[in-house]
Amino acid sequence: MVMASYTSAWILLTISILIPLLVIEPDGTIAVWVFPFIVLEVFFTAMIIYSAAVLIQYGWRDKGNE
Amino acid sequence: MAGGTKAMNRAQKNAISALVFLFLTNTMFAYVFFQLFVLKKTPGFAGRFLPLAILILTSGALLVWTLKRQSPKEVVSDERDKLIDNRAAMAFLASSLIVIPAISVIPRLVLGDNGCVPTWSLPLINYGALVILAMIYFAAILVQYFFRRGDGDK
Repeated sequence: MVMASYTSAWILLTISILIPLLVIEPDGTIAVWVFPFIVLEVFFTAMIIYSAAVLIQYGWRDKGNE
Repeated sequence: MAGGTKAMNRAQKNAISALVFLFLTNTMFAYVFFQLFVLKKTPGFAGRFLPLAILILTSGALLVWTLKRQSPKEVVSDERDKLIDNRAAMAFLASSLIVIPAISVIPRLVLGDNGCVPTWSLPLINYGALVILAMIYFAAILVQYFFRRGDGDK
């Protein structure tokens, strides 16, 4: 579960870095105050994926128990 | 060391190879960065291809050394190696909670609130963070083997 959220965090971080590169173009500039917001957004999304992974796995296991 | 001998197992060889490779990559990166942005000149033929040749030759030597077994009985991975790998992964994860926020705050502290950076530098920043974290991961593996962790101790 931790690995699922962590892997997704790296993928999201890479995507969030590539988007400005593609939208603004390599010669453009980006304000440094945006960086913490990018990291915060990636963190929140990773937490959502972590929580979803926990719930999905509990859901699957409960069916076969008892 | 594994089995009380000085022979290294696959995990230790991987960790040493990765650390050497990452160190060389970082040195090359720093050299090119220094040439381009501090000295403001394009490196010449030797400056461009000599570091690359050293990197490729060293990588090949490391690959052969890592894949070559010291003994036919050498175990690729056992429970102790898995425990050490799990702890190193946790060190990687914990340090990423420090490194990633740090790389997002440091540019703002250096350049100020109105500072801007070119967008092409963003993948380099991301790559730099990944290299730092990878070095922490492999160093954590070597440190645990050095202190013989994973032999049933907590």
